[in-house]
Amino acid sequence: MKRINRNISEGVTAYAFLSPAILILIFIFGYQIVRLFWFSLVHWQGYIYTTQFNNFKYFATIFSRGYVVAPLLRSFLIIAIVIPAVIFLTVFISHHLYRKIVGYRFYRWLFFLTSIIPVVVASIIWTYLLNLFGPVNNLFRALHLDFLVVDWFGNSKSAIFALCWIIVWREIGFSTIIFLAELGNASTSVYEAAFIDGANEFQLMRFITFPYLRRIMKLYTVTMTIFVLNNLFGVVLVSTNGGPGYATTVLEYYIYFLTFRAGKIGLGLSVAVLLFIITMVLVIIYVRSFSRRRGEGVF
Amino acid sequence: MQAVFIFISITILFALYYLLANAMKSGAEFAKNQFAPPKRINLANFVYVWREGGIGITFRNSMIICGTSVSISIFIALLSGFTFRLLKFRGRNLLSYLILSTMYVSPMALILPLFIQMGKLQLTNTYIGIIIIYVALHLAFSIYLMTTYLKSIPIELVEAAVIDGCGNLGLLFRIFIPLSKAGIIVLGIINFSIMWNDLLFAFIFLQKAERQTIMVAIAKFQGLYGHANMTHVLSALVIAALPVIVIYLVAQRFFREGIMSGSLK
Repeated sequence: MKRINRNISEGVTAYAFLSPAILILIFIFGYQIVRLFWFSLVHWQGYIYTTQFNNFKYFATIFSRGYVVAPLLRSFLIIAIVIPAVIFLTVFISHHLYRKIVGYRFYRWLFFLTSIIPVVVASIIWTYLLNLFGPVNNLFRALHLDFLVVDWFGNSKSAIFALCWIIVWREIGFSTIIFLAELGNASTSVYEAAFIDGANEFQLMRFITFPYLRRIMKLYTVTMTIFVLNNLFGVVLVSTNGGPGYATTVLEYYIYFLTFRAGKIGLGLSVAVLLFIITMVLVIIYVRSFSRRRGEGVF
Repeated sequence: MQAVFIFISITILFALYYLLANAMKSGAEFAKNQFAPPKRINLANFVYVWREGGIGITFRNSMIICGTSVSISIFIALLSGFTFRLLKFRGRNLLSYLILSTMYVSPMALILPLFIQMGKLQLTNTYIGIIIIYVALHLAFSIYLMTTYLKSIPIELVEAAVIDGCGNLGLLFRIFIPLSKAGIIVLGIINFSIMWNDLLFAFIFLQKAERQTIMVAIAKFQGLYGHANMTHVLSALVIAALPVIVIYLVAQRFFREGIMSGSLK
């Protein structure tokens, strides 16, 4: 009896201690998610919602007219460019940092700096650097590489690649830290043995570092996909504003555009629901494949 | 091999050099040559954007908003971390999953419901509104990081304290908080820099000039005068980047530790 009482009182204390966290999360997440779905099902008149069911009118519009296709493809294009690039570069960098190439301390310090620089700051610097008359194009002109002289952010074909460059540039420092931490579990004796057997640096990377990093690469691919789908607003707004035309209007930015610029709330909400669902599917994949022990909480 | 490293280093160093050097030039000097170092250390641009450009006010706003949000999130994370570390209760696993899943909800999907909600409560353009949002957004990460940190406190210590008659509150304030100072610093630093860098929520919820954060002010300034007034934009960027870079230089070790323990789930 005493034990049961103790358990109950411990439960009460636990929920009392957790109440601020639970309340604020329900208010900002739980309740708003419910409202997101509810809002997407009612008629909108400008910024005012009614209680009338809309027969999935807005969902039908974004799909049947194909509004959502181009932004979705742009998001996937960025994912398809950024993630392989980041992973390839990060494996390369963290392998050599782990092998302590000349100046590795300096590189480690410097590369991580890019992740510290605020998004807004990095984006604006790069829009200046890649401007038609900016330093990068001046350099190309001086080297007579005239075919590379492009107004990187002003040209609708190149803008998305310039965007990818900023994302990769900012991401490398962060991913390197994570991959290096994972490599910390590797044993140096394996490298030494392979080295004595005559393996060169590339083979060491390919046959030792790469397998060691396989788990983290999978994990990182999923988290990075979620990140790229959901956290590009700052970069896009500052560097291209979604343009030129709609060339860099990715799915996430499209929601902002529809809701706050075009005043098409209903359409914006249905794209928001779509993004929410895509993200949740990715999260489920992530949890399914990487939860270490089933039945045990994450904390 | 080194070629790749040197190439990446050059892009970083040149970007930083370009930022700093041109932030100190006058418009005419900049137009003449973007590459040369400034003729003298000239802080006129900084003074101008700080006073006339209104960056000073937004810097103060950012400090108030981020400082308060960080303190609140640390406090809540300590309470929750302590609970998850030490107490047994029903629904523990489910709750931990639910809390962690909020980390991956797309912020943009929630922006309109939140916007309407905050408008109804008259919390747009206020410190309180944005602080609530920031705390909630980073709470899952904070709790996760704090719980991981509190796990390093040996259970024997707790048992000894319980035998001496220490209650839950006593355990929290006398044992856990003093022993997790490093964790608190790590969490504070990381949360501060994430909140400082945020553009999306500040941009939507703080539209009045006197409440704006520094990132919003710069994004708008760049949109208006972007290519006409580059030296001033660049000096505003230096001011915006300064706090986080200073923190990085001073507390590098904490930074890396936090990122490593926080991102390897």
